Amino acid sequence: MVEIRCEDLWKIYASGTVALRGVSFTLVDEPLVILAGPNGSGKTTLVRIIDGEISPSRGFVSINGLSPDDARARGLFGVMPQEAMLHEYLSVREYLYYLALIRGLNRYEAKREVSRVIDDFMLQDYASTRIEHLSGGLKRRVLLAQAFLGSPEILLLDEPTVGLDPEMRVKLWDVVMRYAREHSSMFILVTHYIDEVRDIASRVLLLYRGQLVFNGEPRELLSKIGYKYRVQVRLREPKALETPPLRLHHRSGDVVEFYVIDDGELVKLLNYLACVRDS
Amino acid sequence: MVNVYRVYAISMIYALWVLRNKLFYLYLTILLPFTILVPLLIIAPARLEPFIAVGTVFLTLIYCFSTASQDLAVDRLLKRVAILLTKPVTPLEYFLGILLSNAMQTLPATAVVIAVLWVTGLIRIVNTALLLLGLVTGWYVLTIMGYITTLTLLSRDYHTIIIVSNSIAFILTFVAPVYYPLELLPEQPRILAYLVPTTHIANIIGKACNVEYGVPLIITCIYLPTLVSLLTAITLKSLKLKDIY
Repeated sequence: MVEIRCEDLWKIYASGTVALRGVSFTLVDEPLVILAGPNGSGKTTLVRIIDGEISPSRGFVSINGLSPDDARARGLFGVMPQEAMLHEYLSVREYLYYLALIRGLNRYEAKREVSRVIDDFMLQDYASTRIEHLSGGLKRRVLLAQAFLGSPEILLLDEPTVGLDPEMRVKLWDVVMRYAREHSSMFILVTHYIDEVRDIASRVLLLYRGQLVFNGEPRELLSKIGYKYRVQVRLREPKALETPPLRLHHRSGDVVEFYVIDDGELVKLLNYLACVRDS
Repeated sequence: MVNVYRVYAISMIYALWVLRNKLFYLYLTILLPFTILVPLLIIAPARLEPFIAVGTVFLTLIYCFSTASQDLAVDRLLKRVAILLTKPVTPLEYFLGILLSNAMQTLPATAVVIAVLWVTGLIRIVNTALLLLGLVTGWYVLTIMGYITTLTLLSRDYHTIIIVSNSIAFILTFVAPVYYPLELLPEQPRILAYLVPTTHIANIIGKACNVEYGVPLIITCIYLPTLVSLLTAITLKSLKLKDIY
């Protein structure tokens, strides 16, 4: 079991900026949590407090009952910070190898883990290349790969898809879902691209100006903050639409209600309904 | 409990930056001490030559101070330490990693400098064990001082940290009686010099090379273990790893 408990978290920086204002929530065995909010809403500060990088000004965090300052608690985490330089004079393989040792793996396990994440994040062609010679996107991939070393129980990924190409984004979500299935890991994703993950997220935490303004399922969020279209479909055949194309829907008897975020999704839904009707 | 692999990995991450830049490494650790040694030998009286030779050995050790302080400052500037902070690293393991990294970077250069000075007859080693003790003490004390200096200054910006740490390194090497004997100082600064760690490190290395600084060995034997205990306790108990951030 993984439990993250945040109680009345406040963070006031030395500059006087209030980044968090009394944030409280508890996450227990949530497979995929989205931490969302506009720029400057306190998302990254919250992540840094949870993973033990910085201390809150007030309030407390516990990870399975341990303080984030405890090395045992940090041992549960795999973290991809939003911005961090790598030790660029090392090759990709060297860097990941040393981080795997720091993660607590022995030499044999470290080598095996490094090979695995290099494969998972399609870094095979660059394994022997010094990080300083990689492009920005590839460096982001290395930063992402290091978070997955040692199969951590909690993965905190701060804007993981920024700077990644579309192929890698799709691959990332594949990896995330596979990890979630194989290791029962809890993922906390800070992302602006809610549309990429809303169908697979179990919970959304929405921050606004340092306050937690929403804590619930993605569907609840949409019903609260709005959606572009709401499409009601009345079924003649009750067994029709057993696998609807959108996860965000609500079924009540012979009526299915879809919450549609944008035009692209509406087109997708209408095409699907046309196919079902014709068949 | 210290994880040896973790300490080794931290040390390699830091050491490889310098060890991979071979020209930079050779300049800092070997060429720089000799560029100071040669002019000093030309302008200084002959009786100071042994002190200048010991000072040259010491200069390779002061690199531990600068490296420990600048590694932390650069890590903070580039936010590289965030990656380490989110791993299960204890403050002790991190410090030991920095310490080992400094040993890998400094001690080979120190050995080369001593060998050159010995071959050219500028230094005469009369007590190898005492020399090793002096080098190890210097490596440890200077690393921990550099570490604490930067942790103390971390609320300041990067440039301030570098200016202050370089100024302290200069004072520890050239103002303290390292390149010259204690007797050359006036009475009151001489008392102050007893409080400077580098006076005692040079004193041990000097005693091992039959160079008399005029500092009783008993004072050094009391001062250095006390200092080492105090600095170690400060590092392990008062400072958290996240202070680097």
